[in-house]
Amino acid sequence: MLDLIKIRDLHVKVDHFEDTFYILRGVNLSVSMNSSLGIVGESGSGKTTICLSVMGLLPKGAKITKGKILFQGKDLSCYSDKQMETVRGKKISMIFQDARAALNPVLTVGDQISDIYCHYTGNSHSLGMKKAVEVLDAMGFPNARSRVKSYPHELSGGMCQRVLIAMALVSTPKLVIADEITSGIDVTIQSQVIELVKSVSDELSAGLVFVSHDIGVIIEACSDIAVVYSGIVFEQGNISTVLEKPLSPYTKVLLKCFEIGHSDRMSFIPGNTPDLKLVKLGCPFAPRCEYVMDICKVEVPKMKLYEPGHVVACHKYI
Amino acid sequence: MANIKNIKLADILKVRKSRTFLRLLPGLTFLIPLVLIALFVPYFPLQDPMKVNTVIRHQPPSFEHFFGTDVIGMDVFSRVMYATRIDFLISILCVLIAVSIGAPLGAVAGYFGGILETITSRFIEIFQSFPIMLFAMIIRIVLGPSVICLAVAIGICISPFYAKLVRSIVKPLRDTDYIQAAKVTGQTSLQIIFRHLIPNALPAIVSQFTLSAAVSIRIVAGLSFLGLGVPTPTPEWGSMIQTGAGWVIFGMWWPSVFPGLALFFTIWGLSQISQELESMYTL
Amino acid sequence: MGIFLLKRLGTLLLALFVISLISFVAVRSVGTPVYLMVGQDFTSEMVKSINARLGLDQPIYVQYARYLRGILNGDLGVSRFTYNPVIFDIAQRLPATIELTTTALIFMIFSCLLAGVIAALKEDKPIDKAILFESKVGVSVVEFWLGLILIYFFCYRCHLFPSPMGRLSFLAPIPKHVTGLYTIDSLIAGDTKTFLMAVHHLILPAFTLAFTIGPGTTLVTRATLRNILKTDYMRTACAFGLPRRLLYKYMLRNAAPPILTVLALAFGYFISGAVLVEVVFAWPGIGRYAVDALQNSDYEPIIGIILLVSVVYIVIYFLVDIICANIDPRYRL
Repeated sequence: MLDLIKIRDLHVKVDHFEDTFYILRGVNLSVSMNSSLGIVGESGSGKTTICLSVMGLLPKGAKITKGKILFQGKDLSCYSDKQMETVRGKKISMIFQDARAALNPVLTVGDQISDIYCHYTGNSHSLGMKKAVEVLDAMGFPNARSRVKSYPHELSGGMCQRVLIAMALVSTPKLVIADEITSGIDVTIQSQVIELVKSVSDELSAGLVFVSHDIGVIIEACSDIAVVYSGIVFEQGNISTVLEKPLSPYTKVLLKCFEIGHSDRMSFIPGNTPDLKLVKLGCPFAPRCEYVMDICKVEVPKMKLYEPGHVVACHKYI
Repeated sequence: MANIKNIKLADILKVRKSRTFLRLLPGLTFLIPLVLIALFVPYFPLQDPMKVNTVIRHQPPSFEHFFGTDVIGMDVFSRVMYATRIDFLISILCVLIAVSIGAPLGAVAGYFGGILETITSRFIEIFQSFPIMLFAMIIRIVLGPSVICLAVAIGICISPFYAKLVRSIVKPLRDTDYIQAAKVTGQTSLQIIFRHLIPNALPAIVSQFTLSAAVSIRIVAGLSFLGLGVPTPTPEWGSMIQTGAGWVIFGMWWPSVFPGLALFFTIWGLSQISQELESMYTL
Repeated sequence: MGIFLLKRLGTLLLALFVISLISFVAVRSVGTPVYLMVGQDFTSEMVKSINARLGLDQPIYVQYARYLRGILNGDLGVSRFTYNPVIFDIAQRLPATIELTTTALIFMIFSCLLAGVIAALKEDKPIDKAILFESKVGVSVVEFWLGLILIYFFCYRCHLFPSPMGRLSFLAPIPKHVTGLYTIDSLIAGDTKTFLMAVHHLILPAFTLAFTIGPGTTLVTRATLRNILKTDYMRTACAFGLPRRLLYKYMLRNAAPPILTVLALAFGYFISGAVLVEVVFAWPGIGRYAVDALQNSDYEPIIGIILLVSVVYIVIYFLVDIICANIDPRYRL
């Protein structure tokens, strides 16, 4: 299967006042067409930074220092802002976490959807509004015709999230990135939102990247999974393969934390996340890994193909 | 998910100690000398600021008279130095009056809520929507010419700001557990307001002190320039600018320019410090 | 929106009521020179009849009602110095102040507001730092002092601008009165020489006036736009590949309420700050009138002017509030 997007050895650092944080330390990731990849990891592991790097929306002070982001053969990490304008929305769409904050508070949701639609199709505003009603209806809004005139602060979090998904639908991208879109939403609505995103990406025949810290959500939404920790992807593969046979020690420990009902104590991973200010870290999980070897403390493990469709970065398998 | 920040003054001072000093430095460079002048000027070897000597009037700056002499021969330099006292004194008074009127008002509005809050809020809105200079003028006309009345007039004009500030801090605190506990243990509303609520607002109030001082010095100077401020023989920067104003067109710039310079540095120093204090508070 | 309008209208009326009350108290506290009017040998009957004539023996609320009725009819009292009704004096001098404040506002929008926008867009580049520094310094400058410095340099030293003796040179003909604004009137009459002279005299005072709140406006505009550029919704708009044109539209629409509010405050401040600038430049507007009245202990004109200016300010503030509520729906909450 052809790769839609392939991230190779991506390094990103952020300058914050006097400190420099090395957030991504060599990320390797690939998404194939017509597949959905779930990126799972703890808070602060760099998942959102990966997405923002792809979109060229890294905040001020953050820079890609090394690596490539190959999208349809072109390296996005070298693109200027003007060049990225042609990519964003049209080719890659991103749906953000805090939906209500992501919508412009002084415009109606209809206006916002219509603006995007009209920009990509060149249609008039009234046609855009008609499309907005249509698309909101498809998102499951009861009474879409009147909802189109609502302002973001009048809608619930779940509704705002669906508006964002509608905006992604209307821009017909080849890749949809959904960053923690189920966080902060009622559990009952979560499934609806996940279903919506899946159906949207199916309709567009687009690839889907689904970022979350909740494995349960990823299992529901995606066919492949990638595990991220402290700026490195430790494992990527088909979801059932990885769940049945987790290779990376980190994946094993992470999965144990999500197990329910086996013992009366909650599993946890002893130790702390490493200090991201250090330039040379070796394998970031080394201090907490039960299989740690001497080489782990010195060298970052490289990504190796273990079996078709299953890659792992760990010194155990090199 | 509102986090009720219960920031104590000590916490503010703990944050980034060394950088704090560096950031305050620009403002303090001007302010500290001015404060020292204000405090110790009687001990300086200066000319008599009130000595009228029409023989030497309109003399440009020289070694004898650093800033020259004005239209009736008074030494501009010593007058500018002495004016530091009055201006600082009045502005401190104005801020104190503004806080003592505004803070309790805001605390009462925030704590009791309901119709009391609505009425107080309306009044605050109304008073804030008047141009402050005109408001000060009219209150000053009503109250009378003394310096105290001037300070009260300006204090009244600035108080809505503090009322709004304190109310916005007190309001979310109303429902916290420890206030409820204080109520349960039988403390009166007055005690709660003064012992618990207002101290919580102190960091915010203190961070605004210098800004209000800058604003009040500006208004004092403006009012004095118009003749509504400090009565004339007393040296004050605004009224000094006014006495020299008519002579600038004839080339005699020093009676007006030097007091204005002093005003500029004072206001600038205060504004710089207030910006740093404000950013420290919001951290 | 309707309820919001009613509420704001209510606050507006309340504010007008309060200011009328304050000015009534001011007028009464300044007192009427009954004993001056009566003269040296007076009898209690004379005092009583004067009191009755002036309505001073009525209860206070009746007096207030009379005062209010007078105001609404345009009776702001009589100036003890010019012997004219205050409203007449104000009408004579108002065009000068309007000319000054409008020019200053135009100056300010095209320099300070624009500078704020540029500084926000070119964040942290040298031009941003330069604008920021200049604004921070400008905020601390006192306007009447600045005016004097400008006069010294440009009038006395360089002779670039005419000396501050009013709106036109001493013996120049006044253009035929249509609006009272010399610039417009001279254009209507086709008299370019007078137009240029009027503009020449306007530049320095208008610049000084604009400087009173200009730097502050720059800072507010810059801060507002910087915050907006960092918001999630601007990032979303970027993320969906919207063109620059649309991004500017989004940005400005969100920035409009705070910036409009600052402009309204500026205009209000101009009207009151014009007092100081008019004194420095001997501009024959209502500000100068107020100060002259002050120096003659003639209090009724001052109170009348303060009342008038406050009313205009409150109304402008109210209108801007309505516009903001129109643009930003969150205002109506």
